Order: sequence, then structure tokens, then C-alpha cells
Amino acid sequence: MLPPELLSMVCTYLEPRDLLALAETSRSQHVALSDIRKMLLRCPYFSLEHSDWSSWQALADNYNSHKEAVAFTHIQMDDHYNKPLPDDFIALQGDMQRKSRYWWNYCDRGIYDQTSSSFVDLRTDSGTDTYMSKEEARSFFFGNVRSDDDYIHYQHTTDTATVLARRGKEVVLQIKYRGEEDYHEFLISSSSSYLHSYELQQIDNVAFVYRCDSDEENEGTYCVAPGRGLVPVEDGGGSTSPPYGWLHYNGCLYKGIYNEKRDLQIVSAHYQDNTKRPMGGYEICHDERHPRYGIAYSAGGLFPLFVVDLKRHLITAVHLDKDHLPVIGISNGRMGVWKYTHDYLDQQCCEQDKPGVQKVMDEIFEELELCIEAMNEVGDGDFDPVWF
Amino acid sequence: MVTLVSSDGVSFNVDQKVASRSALIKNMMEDIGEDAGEIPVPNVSSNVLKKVIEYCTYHKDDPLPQSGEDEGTSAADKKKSTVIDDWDYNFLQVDQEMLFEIILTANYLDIKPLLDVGCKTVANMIKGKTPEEIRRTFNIANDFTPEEEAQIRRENEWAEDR
Repeated sequence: MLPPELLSMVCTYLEPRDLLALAETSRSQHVALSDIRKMLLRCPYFSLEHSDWSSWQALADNYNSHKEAVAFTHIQMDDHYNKPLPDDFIALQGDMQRKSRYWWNYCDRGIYDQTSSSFVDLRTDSGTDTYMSKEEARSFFFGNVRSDDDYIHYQHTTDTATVLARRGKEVVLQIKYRGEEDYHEFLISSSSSYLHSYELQQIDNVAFVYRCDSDEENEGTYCVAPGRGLVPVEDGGGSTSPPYGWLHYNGCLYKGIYNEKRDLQIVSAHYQDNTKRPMGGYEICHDERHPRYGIAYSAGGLFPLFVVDLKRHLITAVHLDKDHLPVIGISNGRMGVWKYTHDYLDQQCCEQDKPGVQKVMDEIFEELELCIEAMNEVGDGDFDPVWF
Repeated sequence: MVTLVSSDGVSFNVDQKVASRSALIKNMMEDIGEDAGEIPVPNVSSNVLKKVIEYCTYHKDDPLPQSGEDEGTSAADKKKSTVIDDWDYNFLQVDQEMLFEIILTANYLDIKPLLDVGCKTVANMIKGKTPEEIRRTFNIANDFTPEEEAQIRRENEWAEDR
């Protein structure tokens, strides 16, 4: 075989199960891959895309320094009102699942309407970016995986599609990875009772399933990574708060929870243990293009409430209000929020002759107001935009 | 033109543009100047050097690879794809000894695209295989004791398909 320094280059192109198979071939391979193997055995959920490094070796080396729980610092995000987006603006758009669920989304040039396949351009530089149409987004991958069974949830990312479905007296999880002919199936529960509740979240190619049986005897959070069975997940830091969602970066798993002040906290979580009371909204997702950023959305998933920088361990609130549509993104290496009034966006649509997008703007602002009203009701009318 | 001399004494006259695909030779030519004359390549035999020159000749007009990653590198850019161009794929359909020699030479001469495509080729030979299949592919002797092998298999059990 190759000398160790070249073998580590080859390994950057391999998946975890291939690396472990290689390490099982001989003593020398076992030794050469020991660092990577140890890291994989301890932490099966990371991918190079969800890391600061481009090699397994670098990630394995750096993973060892992340044993302790990581604290996230709350910071104030730069906000800009009715200002053009910067030329280097990168929109944080969430994942493919979100794109396929809603009829509009953020894009690097402004607000994109899937229905009319056009966007209102909020930048001043010229550009002719194209984005997925409604049909393309909704049939992006899922088509041939959809189960005929009574499905409870489905999620998909760029490379993985997942279905949680009732089938006869069982609840099963079906996962299909891009490029594979068949899907993998896992038994989640031997009871298909409607008294039991389930949630599903897909992060990259790892599926998280939250099961909450009515008798509370079988509560649990599980995940499935490629080539693995169901693995129990501990919900982090000894907390019994229900998870609002999960993120992972640099091999570490994080759980989003809301504290008593309705402030989002990101806490370190661990694997291989049981969890308590899995339930909640699960509207946290990674940005598909830049997984170092996680976004927590409002109930219903339309508007961003918090942005998390997993690389720098920062969290920031968006401060939602009914008069401004927030557009979150990165410019000059900093997170920021650009906020626009209905009038400003209306005028931009008129000037750019985008009637389709203009119509969507009306609906978006209606949704925004409803969203804030709903949050007020949940909070007994004491909604303080500072928390959102 | 520049003349590259292999470890077994065979000379190859190569266009400077072709030779410059190697960062090592490019630097040497810049240091020595126009009259580079003969450049010895002591660690590379003539049959391997011939193959490497064939690669460099085909790719002589390709843009040179950029090093480093910026903050904005997206997941898609960062993802390690094992897709190989048709020409490169056919070029690397050689016996295993030659493939490894090409990779080692690409590393020694600092020809990054050839090193990358060589490593991808080896990775594709490993993907999806069991340990036993990998052993057969690369003629690796299983020097584990049966106890050691059982222990490692137990440790890695979770990674097997269920």
C-alpha cells in the first residue's frame, strides 16, 4: 500500500464505513488509521462538509480538543434597514427541505418566489442568478422514495431522503441515499397507535427520530447515519428540556432548547444514551451551502428567529417585527440582518417589473403579522420582540 | 525544451510548458534559468516518468490549481468528489504497482491534479468493499491474530449494514 502520508490523502475521499473496513485489513492499516478510527467510533455523525477541515486526519486531530461542552456566546447582529444587500452577500437559506416546503425563500440577490421563478433584486451590482422553480424544488430528490404507507413525516436533503410512516401495526423509518437503488428500513415502533407522537429531522445524511409514546415508557431520540442502525442519543447536559432541534459541526452534536425566557440556547449533546421528553417544533436547520451556520425558524418555519455560528460558537437573535421582513446572511465575514418594509419591497418590485414577486410580498407580510400574533398568544400576550 | 533524466538514465526532451506542470521542476527551472539543461529525476524510473510526462502533456493547457480555501468555501465546493474525467480514468487503468508509482511521483514532483486523481482512483478501489475484499484488491496480508480480528470486528460492528 501507499506510505501513510499518501494514504491519509486517499482517506479524504472515503466514507466512514470504508475507512473502518480499511483499518480492519491489517495491523499496519489499523495503526495508520487509528486516529481516524477512534474519532469515527466516538462520533459517527460528522461529515467533512460540517467541519472546518477538508481532511479526516485534520478533523480527527482537532476533534480531540473538543471534549468539553461548548458555550455559545450571545451577540448582537448588525442590522440594516431598507439598504441594498452588499455585493458579497450570501443568503442563509436553510436546507432543501425548507426550500421544497415553502413557495418563497431567500436568495443571494433578495427574495425569491418559486411560483413565478423570479426574485426581487435587492443588490445594486448586476447579476442574473437562477434558482430552482417550485416544481424543481419539490421533486428535487424525493420522487421515487415516497412510501405508499401512511407517512407521518418526510424530510430530504441534497443526498438523502427520509420517510417516517405507519405501516400496518408498525412505524418504520425509510432512508434512501442518492445513488443507491433501494432504501434502508428501520423499525421505530411495533405500535402504530395514533396516541404516539414522532418527529423527524434530517441533518446532512443523518436522520434523527424523536419518539414519544403515550405511556412515556418508550420515549427516546434516535439517529441513523449511513451504514448504521438506530443509535440512541442523549439530549445534552443533563437537561430534560425538549429539543427544539439538532445541529452538528466538527464532530460535535448540539441541541437547541428554549429556556424560560424563550431565549434559544445551544448546548452540547452526546450520543449513546437515552433522552427524555422529545417533542417540540424542530425548526432548526443548517444552511445547506454553509453548514457552519444553523438557523432557528419561527413556528411554521417561515421566518428566522436565531442564527448560530457553529464555528465561532456565537448565537444571535433576529428580532422579528411585523413591519420588517428580515433577510439574514453573511457579508464581509460577518452575520447580519437586512430588514425591509413592505413599501420598500413593493417599490423595488414595481421598478423591476416583478408583479409575481410583488403579490408574494403581500402574502409574506400577512404571514409575518400572523406569526407574531401567534407568538403573542402562546406567550399570553406578553410577546417581546427582543426575544424573537 | 528541457531534458528530464530518469533514475535508470533515460532522457526525455519535454516542452517547458509541459514540465512546468510539476511545481518542483518549475521552481528548479526558475532557479537555474533558461539553460536548465538536464534535470535529473533520481527517484523515478523511465517507464513511470514516461507516463507522468504523458499526463502533463495532455493537461499542459489546464489552469494551474489554486491553493488554500477562503471563509466562503461552500459545502458543495468542499465536498470531496471521487468523480474522475474520462481521459484521466483511462490513463490510470494501469497495474497497481504502476498506479502507486504514479501517485508517489506526482507527490515527489508536486503535480497536485495528478496526485488528486491518483488518490481518487485508489479510493474508488476501496469504496464499498469488505476488509477481505480490500485485502484481495491490494494484496494485503492479514496479520491479525483471530482474537484481534474478532475484537476489532466487535468494535466496528455498528458500521455494518443491518
